[in-house]
Amino acid sequence: MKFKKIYLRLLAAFVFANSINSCLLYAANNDDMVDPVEFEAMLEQEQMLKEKGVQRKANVDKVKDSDLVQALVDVVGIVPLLQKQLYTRSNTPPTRNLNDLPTFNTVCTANNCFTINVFPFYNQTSQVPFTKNSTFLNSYVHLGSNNFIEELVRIIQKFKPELGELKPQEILPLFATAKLQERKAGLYFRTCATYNDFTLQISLPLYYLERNFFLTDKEISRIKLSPFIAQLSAGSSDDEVKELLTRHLVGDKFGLGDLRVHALYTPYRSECYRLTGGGIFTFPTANAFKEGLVGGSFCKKTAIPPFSLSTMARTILEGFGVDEELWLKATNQLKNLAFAILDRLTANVAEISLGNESHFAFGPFLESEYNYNDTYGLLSQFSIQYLVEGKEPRYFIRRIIPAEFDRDYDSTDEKVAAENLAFLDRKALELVFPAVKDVNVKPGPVIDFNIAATYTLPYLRAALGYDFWWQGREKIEFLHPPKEQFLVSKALNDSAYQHKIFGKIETFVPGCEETFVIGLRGDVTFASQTVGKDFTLALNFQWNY
Amino acid sequence: MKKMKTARKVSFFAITLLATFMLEVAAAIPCNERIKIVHAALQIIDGTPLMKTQDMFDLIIDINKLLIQEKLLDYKGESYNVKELAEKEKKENLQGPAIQNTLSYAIKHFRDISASYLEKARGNKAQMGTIIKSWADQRKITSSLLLDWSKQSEGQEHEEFKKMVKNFRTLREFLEQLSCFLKDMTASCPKSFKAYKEATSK
Repeated sequence: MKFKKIYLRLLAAFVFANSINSCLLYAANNDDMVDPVEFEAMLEQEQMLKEKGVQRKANVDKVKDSDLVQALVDVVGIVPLLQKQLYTRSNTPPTRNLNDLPTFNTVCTANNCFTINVFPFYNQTSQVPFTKNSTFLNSYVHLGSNNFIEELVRIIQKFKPELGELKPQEILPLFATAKLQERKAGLYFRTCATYNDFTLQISLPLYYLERNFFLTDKEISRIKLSPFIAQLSAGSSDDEVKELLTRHLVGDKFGLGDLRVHALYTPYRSECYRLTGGGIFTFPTANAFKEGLVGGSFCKKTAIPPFSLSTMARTILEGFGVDEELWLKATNQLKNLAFAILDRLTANVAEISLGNESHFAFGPFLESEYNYNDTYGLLSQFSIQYLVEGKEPRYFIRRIIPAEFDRDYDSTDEKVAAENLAFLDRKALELVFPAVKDVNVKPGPVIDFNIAATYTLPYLRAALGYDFWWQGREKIEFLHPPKEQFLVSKALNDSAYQHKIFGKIETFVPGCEETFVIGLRGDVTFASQTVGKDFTLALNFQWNY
Repeated sequence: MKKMKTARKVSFFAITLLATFMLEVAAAIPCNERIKIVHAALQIIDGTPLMKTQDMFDLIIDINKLLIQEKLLDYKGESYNVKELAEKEKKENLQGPAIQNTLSYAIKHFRDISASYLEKARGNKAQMGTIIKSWADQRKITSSLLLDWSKQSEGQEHEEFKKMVKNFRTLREFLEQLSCFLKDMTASCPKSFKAYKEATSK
C-alpha cells in the first residue's frame, strides 16, 4: 500500500515534471521562430499543391539590405570590431640623410685645389624603429593581445570550427616581432674646388635603397609551422612564397639622392690652427630612376581596391554553392584585399625618399682644425640645418567616434538599410586603410657635431672620432580641414638622435698636386632614438688636380 | 502527524524537482514538437537564398513520401514505403539479395531527391555539420546516423551513407531524423518563412 502511494506520487511527479519541461522548452525555444501550427499548415498545403502537380517558384533570390545589415550587426557583431583600431601609428619611420653621415663629412680646404671623390659605400640599419623606441611591428600595428584581436577572435569563435585553422590570436602575434630593415648601397660623388680660401664643394649620391620586413630564421620557422600558414602555403614551393612576400613586403628603388653644396671661407689659417665657416645647402634632387627592382613598387597614394564588406557578404549568401564564378570572384576580392592591406602597410613604412622628402635645407657650417704637431691633430665640425616646409602625402589613422555608430540597424526601411550598409562598408575600409592626405610637413631642424683625433704620417692619414646628430620633432599642417577626424599625433615622427663612432684610414699625399688617394672609411651608431642604429662602410677614391 | 505531512510534502516536492532534472538531462524532445536551432550561421542565412523555405519543404515532402506516404519501393512484386519495409524486415528478419536490392534502390532514390540540396550546400558542409550538432545537442540526441553522416567529408556523403545504412531500420531512423532536422531548421528561419509566405500568396 505504502509502495503504491510512493509509486503514484512518483508517477504524478513525472507527469507534472514532463508538462513543466515541455512548457519551459516551448517557451525557451519559441522565441523568434515560426509558429509551429502555421508551419505545419503551410507544409501540409505545400504537400497538397505538390500532389496536384502545382509547381511554385522558390522564394528569395536576393538578400534584402535590411537583412544583410542585421546579419552583419546582430549575428556577426561587426560594429564592435569596426570601433577598434588596427594601426597604433601611421608615421613613416625616418632615416638620416646620407649627406649627414660622418663617413662623408670631409671638406677640402687646401688652397687652389680641385678634387674629385668617389665613395662606393654600404649602409645598413638592421632595425629601423617604428616608433620612438620600439623596433617591433606590434608597436605599429595591433598584433598582440589587444582589443582588436579580441574582437576578431570573438567573431571567429562564433563560427568555430567552421573556419578551420584560422585563429588570429595565434597567427598575428607570430608577426609581432617583425622588424624593418634598411639598406643603402651605391656611389657617393663629390667634387671640390678651392680658390684663395674660398671653397665650393658639391656632393651627390647615386644609390640603391631598400626597406624590408625582417624576421629571424627562428621566427620564420615558427610561422611556417603554424597550421594556418601551412594550409595557406600548401602546394606552393618555398621560393614561390618567398617571391610573393618579397613583392608585397619589400620596397626598393634606385636613383639620385639630394645634392649637397658647401660654400665655405677660411678666414684664419696658421701652422697649427685653421677655422673654416660658411653655409651648407641641400637641394631636393632626390629622384628614383627605377622602383621595385627586387621587391614591389609602392606609392603612398595607391587607390584602395574595389572591396565592399556588404557586397562580399551578399556574394556569400546569394552565390555560395549556386554561382561558382561569383564565389571565385569573391575569394579573389578577399585575396586582393589582403595583399592591398599589406601593400598599404609597406607603402607607409618602407616607401621613403632617397633624400629629404623634397625639403630644401640650409644652415651654417663651421670647421676648426688644430694640429698639435705634424702628426697629431683635432678636427671638429658643427652645423645646423633648417629644413624648409613642403607638401607631402602622409597617412592618418581616423579617430573612432562612437556616436557615428549609433544608428538604427534594425530598420526595415530599405533606404535606411542601404545607408547603414554604405556606412559599414566605409568603416571597414577605414579600419584597414589609413587615410592618405597631402599635408604641409615642417621637418625639425638638424644639428650635427663631430670631433675626431687625426693621425698623419707621410702617405698615411687616419682619424677616429665621435659624431652626434639630432633632428627635432616634425610638425604637420593640414592643407584642407578638418583635421579633427584624424589622430595627427600618431602620424608625427618624434625627435631623433644618433651617437656614432667614425673613422678612416687612407694613403695620402700632402698638398694639392696631381695625386690619387685611396682609403677606407666607416661609422657605427652606438646609441640612437627614432632612426635606429646603422653602420656605414665606404671606400674612398680621390683625385687631386 | 503534522510534521509527517510536512515531511511528505517536502519529499514530494524534492522528487518532483529530481524528476524534472532527470527529464531535462535524459529525454529527447519528441519530433512533432518544433524547436528553434540556435546557431550563428543559421541566423545569417535566414532570409537569404541559402535558406529557402520552398526548397526545404520540397525536400521534406520528398523524404516523407519515401518514408511513409507513398509506396515507392518494390520488394518481391509488392510496393512498400521505408517504414513498412523496416517493420517487415524486423518482423520477418529479412535478409538476402532481394531486400538488399530494394535497399540500394531506396538509397539511390534518396540520393536523387537530395542531390540538388546537397549541391547547394556544397562548400558549406562543415557549417552544416555544426548546425546539425547544435540541433542534436538541443534535442538531447547524443548519437545518431544523421550526426555521423554530417561528419563525413564533403563529396563522400553518398559513399559513406551506403556504408552506414545496412538495413531498412537504419534508413528509417536516418530519414526520420533528417526530416525532423529539416523541419526544425526551416522553423528556425522566420525571415525565410515570411518571404516564402509573401511569395506564395501572390
